[in-house]
Amino acid sequence: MNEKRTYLDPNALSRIAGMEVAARLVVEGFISGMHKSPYQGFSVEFVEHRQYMPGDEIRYIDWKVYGKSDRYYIKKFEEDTNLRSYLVLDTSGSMGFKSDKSSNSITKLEYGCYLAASLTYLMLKQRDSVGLVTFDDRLETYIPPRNGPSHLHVIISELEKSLPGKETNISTTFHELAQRIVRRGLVIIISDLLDDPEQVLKSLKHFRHKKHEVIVFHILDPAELTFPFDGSVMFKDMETQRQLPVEADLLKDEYLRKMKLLISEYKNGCNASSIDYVQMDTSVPFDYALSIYLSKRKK
Amino acid sequence: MNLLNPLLLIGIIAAGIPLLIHLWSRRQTKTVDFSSIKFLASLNLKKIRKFRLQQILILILRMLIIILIVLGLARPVFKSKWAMAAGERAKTSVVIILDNSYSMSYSGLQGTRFDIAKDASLRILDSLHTGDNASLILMSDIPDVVFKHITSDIQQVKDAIKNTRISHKGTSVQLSMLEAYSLLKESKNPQKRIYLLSDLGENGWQDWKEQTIPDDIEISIIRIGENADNRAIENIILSSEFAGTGVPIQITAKLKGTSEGQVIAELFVDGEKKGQASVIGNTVSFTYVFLKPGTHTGEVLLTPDRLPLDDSRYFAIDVLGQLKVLVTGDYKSYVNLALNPGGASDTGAFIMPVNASIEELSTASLDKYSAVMLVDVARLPDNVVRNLRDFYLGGGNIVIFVGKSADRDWYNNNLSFLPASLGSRATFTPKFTRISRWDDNHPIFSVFRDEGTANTLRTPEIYSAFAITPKPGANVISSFEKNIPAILENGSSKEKTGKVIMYNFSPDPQVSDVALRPMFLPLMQQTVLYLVSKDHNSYKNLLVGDIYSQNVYDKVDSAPTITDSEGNGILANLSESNQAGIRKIGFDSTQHSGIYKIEFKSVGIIQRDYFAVNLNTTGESDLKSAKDEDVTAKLGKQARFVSLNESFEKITSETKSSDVSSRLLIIALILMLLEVPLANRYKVKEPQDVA
Repeated sequence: MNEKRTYLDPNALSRIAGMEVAARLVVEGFISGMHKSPYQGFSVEFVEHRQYMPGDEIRYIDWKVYGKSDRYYIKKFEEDTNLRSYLVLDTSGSMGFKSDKSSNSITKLEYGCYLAASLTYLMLKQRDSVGLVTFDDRLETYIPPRNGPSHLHVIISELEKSLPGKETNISTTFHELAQRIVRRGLVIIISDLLDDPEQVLKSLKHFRHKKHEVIVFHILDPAELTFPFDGSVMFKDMETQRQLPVEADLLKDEYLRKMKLLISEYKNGCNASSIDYVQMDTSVPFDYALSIYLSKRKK
Repeated sequence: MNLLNPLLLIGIIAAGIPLLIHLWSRRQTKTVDFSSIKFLASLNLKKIRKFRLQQILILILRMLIIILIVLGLARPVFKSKWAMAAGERAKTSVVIILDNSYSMSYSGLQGTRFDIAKDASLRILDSLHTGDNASLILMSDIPDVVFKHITSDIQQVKDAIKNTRISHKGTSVQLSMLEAYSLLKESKNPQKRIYLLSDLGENGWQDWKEQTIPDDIEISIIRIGENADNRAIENIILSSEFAGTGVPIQITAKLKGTSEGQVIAELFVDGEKKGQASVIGNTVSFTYVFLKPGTHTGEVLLTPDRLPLDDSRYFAIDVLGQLKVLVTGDYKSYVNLALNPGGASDTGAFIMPVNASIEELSTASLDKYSAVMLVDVARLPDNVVRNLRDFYLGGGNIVIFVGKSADRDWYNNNLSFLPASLGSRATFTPKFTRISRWDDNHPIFSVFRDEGTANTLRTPEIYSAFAITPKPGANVISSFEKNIPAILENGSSKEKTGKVIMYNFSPDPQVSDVALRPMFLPLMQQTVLYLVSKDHNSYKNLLVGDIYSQNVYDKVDSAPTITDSEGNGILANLSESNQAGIRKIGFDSTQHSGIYKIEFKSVGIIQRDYFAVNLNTTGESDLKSAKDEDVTAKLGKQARFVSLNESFEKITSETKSSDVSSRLLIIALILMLLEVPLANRYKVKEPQDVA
C-alpha cells in the first residue's frame, strides 16, 4: 500500500511518462488506500439488500423479499450517474512556474494536468461525464463532457498538449464559460488564481448562479507560499515578461502577509458562495484532491 | 589647506571600493522567473524605494568614512579663522633667532639687551606644548645654528640659551632667516613660527636681498632696544707698518659715534699702560718708541660706555732691530745720509748704511745686510755679479740706481735680475722731467699719502734717464712725465728669491736734484723698510672672523698652537711644504677680539708671534635700529612686531592653522558607528510560511 501511495506524490508521478498511466496509478492507489469501494450509490444495477430505515424511499422497497420474509428491505443499485463535470484548467503563463528547477519537479500547470487527468480517470470510472476547458486570457480548449472510456484518452491527449500560455484573465473567461455551459454540473477549477480576487470571486458566483457545483483547486508553488528569496532579485513576469527589481528581504513579510490575505479572501469568498475551495501547493499528493472531489460527489 | 602627508592622499582611491562593491552587487542581481509580478507590484514598494535610498546613503557613508580616514591620516591643516574652531591648535615648530651680535651687549637699565633677549627666549619656549618642537639660531654675521635639526627636547634648547654668550661679530639677518627657513622646511608640524629677538640694527639689513618667504611661516619680531648713542674705536692706524727700535711711531685711534661725558683714551703696550689722553674729536694719537725688536702688542682703551666691547681695540706690530744696508757707487754719500741722517757717528740708527768698494763686494758676506744698494755703478766684475746673484737667489734685496755712468749693454747682458732692459739714454727738454705718477698703494709710498708729502714727490728735477723696457712681470711703481718708468721692481718668480728695485735716476747732480729734495730721505728709508717687510709676516691686525695666515720658511716641527684672547689653546692648520719649501699656517677661529699668541717649534726652538683681532665696527657699533615698517616690508606679510610684554602663550597659540586630522578621524569613527545599525537594519529574516 505504501508503495502505491508513493505514486501519489506529484514529483514521483512526473517521472512517469504517460499521463494516462499516471492518472490510473493515482486513482487506483487512492482507491486501494481507502479500503472502500468508491462505486457505491444508486444504480440501475442491483448491488445488495439493506433493511429499510425510516426515511428511505418506499419505491426502493423489494416487495418480493417482503413477500418471502415479511420484512422490509430496500434494494441498493449501482448508480448510473448523469453528473456532468467540467475540468477548467488554467494554462496561463503563471502556471508554468516552478521554484524547484530540478528535472523531477513540476510546474503548477503540470500539477494541474496530473490532477485533471486523475480526476478525469476517477470520474469516468464512476461513469460521470467529463469535459475539459483550458484557458489563459481567453478560452483555449473546450471539450464537452462525455462519458465513456475513450473520452479519457481525448482529455489526456489534450492535457498532454497544454503549455503555459499568455496572461490570465480569469474572471472574463469564467463569465464566458458560465454562459456557455447550459446544463448544470460540477465545475472543477484548477488555477493559481493570480488575478483580481474580487473579479474572480464574482465570476465564480456566476457558476453558482447557473446552479453549478464548483470546486476550486487553488494551485500554488511552495515558493509562492514561502517566498524563499533574498537579496536583490529581478523578478521576471512569466506572462508579460515584465521585470521588477526587488529587495526580496524587504518584501518578504509584506508578500507573505498579502499572500495570506489573498488565500483567505478566496477561501472566505468561496465559502460564502458555497464553493469548495482547496488551496494546494504542488508538493501536496493528489489523493488529497481526489478525496475532496469525492466528498463533494457524495453530496 | 595644506596636507602634511600628501602622499597618503593616494588612499582616497580606496573610497571607490564601496562604490565598486555596490555596482558589482547590482550586477550580481539574480533574475528569477516568477508566476506573476502583478501581485508583487501590488505590494507596498515605498519600502523598497526607502531601502534603495538607504543603500545609497550607506554607500555615501562608507565612501565618506574612507575619505575621512584618508584625509585624517594625510593631516590636513586649514588656515582660516574658522579653522581654529574646527580643529585644535596645530603642533608648532618654533625657531628662535637670538641676536648675539656684540651690539646686543649694550647695557640698559634692565640689563644687557642680550640678557633680556635670552629671558624672552626662555619664556617663548615655556609657551610651547607637548608635541611642539624648537631650534635655536644665534644671529651674527655668520649664523650659528645651535640645533642642526629641530628638536622636541625643549629643555635642551633652554639649556643652550642659558649657556649662550655674546659674540664679537656683526649681524646679518638674512643669513639667519635662511637657516631658519631651512630648519622649518624639515618640520612636519603644520604651524611654523620664527621668533626674531634682536636690536634690529640697521647694519644687519645691509646685505638683505629680496626673497620669497614661505607662506606657512609666521614671523614674530621682538625688538630689544632702540636707537642709542655709542662711541667706538673704529680703527688703529700705525704710522708705519713696521717700527724700528728707537724710532718713534705714531699710534692713532680713529673713533666714531658719540657718548656722554669726558672720554679718556689709554694706551697699553705689551700689557702695560704707556699713555693716556683726553678724547677731543674723533681721533686720539699716541707717539711711542719701541726699544726692543720683536712683535709687540698693544691696546687703546676708551672710558667704557654702555657698549664697552667696542671701546677698546688691539694692535700688533713687528719692531725691527737695526737694519744694515750695504751701499756702493759713486754717489753713495747721498744715500748714506738719507738712510742715516745722523751720520756715521750715530751708530744706534735704525737703518745703518755700510759702505764698501766694488771690489769688496766680491768677498763681502752679503747675507748679513738687509739690502745692497748699487748707486750708479758703471759695471761690476764677474765675481761680484756672481756674489750678488747668489745673494738675490737666497732672498737678498738689491737696489740699483742707474745714472749716466751705467753701461747700458753691460747691465742688459750681465744683470739678469734687473726688472727692465735699458735702452738709449734720453736727455729731457727743455731741461728736466719730473715724477708724475706713482702707485699710491705701494708700501714705499705709504708715507706720501697725504697731499702735502705727496707734492714733495713731484719736486725733483730729472735731467736724463734711460729709455726702459720693463721685463715681463716687472712692476712699474712710478713714472716720469710721458710715461717713462721711474721706479720699477721685479716680479718674483720664486717666493724665496729676493726683491730688486731699480731707480731710473741717481743722486748724481747731473742726473737729478733728488738728493737735495726732502722726499729723498723718506723714499730711501721706505725702500729699505719695504724690502725688509717682505720677510715678515705683515698682516698682524685682523677682524673677527678673518683667517690668519702665515708662511713659514723654516722647518716647523709640529702644528702651531694658537692661544686666543680668552686663553683657549687651539691647534692651527699647517700645510705641507710647497715646491719652494714654504709651509702655511692657517687659523680661522678668530671669534673674539683681543691678542692671539701663536707658538710653534722650529728646529727645537720655540718661535712665538702675536696678532690682534678686532671688532668690525662698521655698522654694528652705530646702534641705529631699522624702522618697524622697513623690517616688516622686508620680512613680508607674515611678519608682525610683538611686544616683550605680550603673552607668548597667546602668540604661539594665535595660530591661523589648525590640524583637523583628529577631528576627521573622530567623525569617521562616529560615522562607522552609525553605519553598523544602518547596514543591519534590513537583515535577512528566517523564511516563514504563510500557512
